[in-house]
Amino acid sequence: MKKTDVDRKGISSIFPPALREMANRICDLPGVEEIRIRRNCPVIVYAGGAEYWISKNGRRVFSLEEAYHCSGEDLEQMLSFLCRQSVYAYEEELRQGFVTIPGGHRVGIAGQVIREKGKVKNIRYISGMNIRIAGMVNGAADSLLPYLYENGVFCNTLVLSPPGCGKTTLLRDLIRQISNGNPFAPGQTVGVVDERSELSGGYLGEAFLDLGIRTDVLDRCPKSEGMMMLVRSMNPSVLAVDELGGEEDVTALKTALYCGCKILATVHGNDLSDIDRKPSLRHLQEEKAFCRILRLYKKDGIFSSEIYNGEGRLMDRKRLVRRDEAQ
Amino acid sequence: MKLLGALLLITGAGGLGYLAEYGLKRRITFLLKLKELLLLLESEITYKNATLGEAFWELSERKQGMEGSFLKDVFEGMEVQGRNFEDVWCEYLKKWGNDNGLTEEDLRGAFSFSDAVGIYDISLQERMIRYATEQLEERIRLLKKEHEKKGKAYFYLGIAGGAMGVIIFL
Repeated sequence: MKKTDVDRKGISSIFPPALREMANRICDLPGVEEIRIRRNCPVIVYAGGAEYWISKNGRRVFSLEEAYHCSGEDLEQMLSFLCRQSVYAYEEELRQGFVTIPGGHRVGIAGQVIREKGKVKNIRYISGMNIRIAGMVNGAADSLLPYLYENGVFCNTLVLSPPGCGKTTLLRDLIRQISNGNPFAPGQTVGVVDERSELSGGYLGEAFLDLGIRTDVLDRCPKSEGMMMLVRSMNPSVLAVDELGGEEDVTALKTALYCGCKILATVHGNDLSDIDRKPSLRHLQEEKAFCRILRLYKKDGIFSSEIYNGEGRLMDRKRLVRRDEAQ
Repeated sequence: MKLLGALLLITGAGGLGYLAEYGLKRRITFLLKLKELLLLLESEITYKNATLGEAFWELSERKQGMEGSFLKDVFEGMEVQGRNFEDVWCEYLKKWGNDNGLTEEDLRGAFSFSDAVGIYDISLQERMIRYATEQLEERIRLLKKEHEKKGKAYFYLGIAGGAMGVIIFL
């Protein structure tokens, strides 16, 4: 199982020039997963299951006094660099509270929300940012692949996971292995709707993360429209979608299913009962749309997956490798 | 030999006058190019919702020669070196302007739009760029007027100066 290096440039580019060295050193920490920046609070890094305080020159420190405390000005500059000095181009992302940067890393933003007609319009007086670092772990899906094929045919699969369990990392590797071929089936055309550029980490048309040689990516496209566009124009054998949302997404997904595409989708949730609680997904399950459900969870610091069949019967449990455990 | 010297003096002085007239024309030409660049930038931003970096990249791929280099420099300053847009724009615009005989006064309008560009919503980007192009248009209009009034005068003054020189030396 191979881990690819964190794209330091994508992450450090959103920091003010004076803090870029700190950011580069943080990216070199093994298994770095998150960087938390809060106004007038120490910079905290989560890596390999542990929490670190960081000094201005990027060294790990053990006292609050030595840790670098980000100022309001740092955060305002970060917002400007985060939006590539073009806030107007990120209005939609700011409305949703996060921006995806080159490399597929997701940066969540906290602050004072500006509303218009009852809806979130923008965020100002930034109080904090959370940089979730995208990881490519080639082989993350190895232990699960055998369960996702029947007689060489990919089964419609739903990945159910709470935040922070590696759902997107797993999805990337699944897409890559389906596209390139694996011990269970030859390579197939995969269509990916990458609504927030997280899966491919796209920048100026180039993908930073390897999704396979037979994969077509619709970048920054709403899921429901993207699925229809791919089905009509790119003829995918498998359609991959991250974070299925509401009725529109599910309607588009059903249309894709009726067109003969296999589906690989993810959804937020803790256990199978969460599927029942979402009306649109419950209907899909009643129609037995998904033949496999992968439930990701974390227990005692260990990430694992339960594999269920279409009837909800548990087939097996597998331990998943953490980012810092990959070579 | 005296005749040759006189001819050279008159030609030289006339040439200087011609250069002064040509300099005016050159400034007008480059201000027109700058105005075109700003309009293309506006299209990239308003039609494609491109970030500043993306807009400069796209335009640098379409433009050749000095314009292309200028646009590429701005792109690299922002996206590769990670510098602030206002600093990069002003630095490279000044350099490009100096290389083409433009003065600070000529470029004042183009400098001003970098203050607020990228910060607010798209309609303000449009207004900022329009305001900069209006200032450029005003500057172009003034230079054209100056060229009309003084362009030929510079040339003939040059020749007259040369002739005066010939008379003095003879």
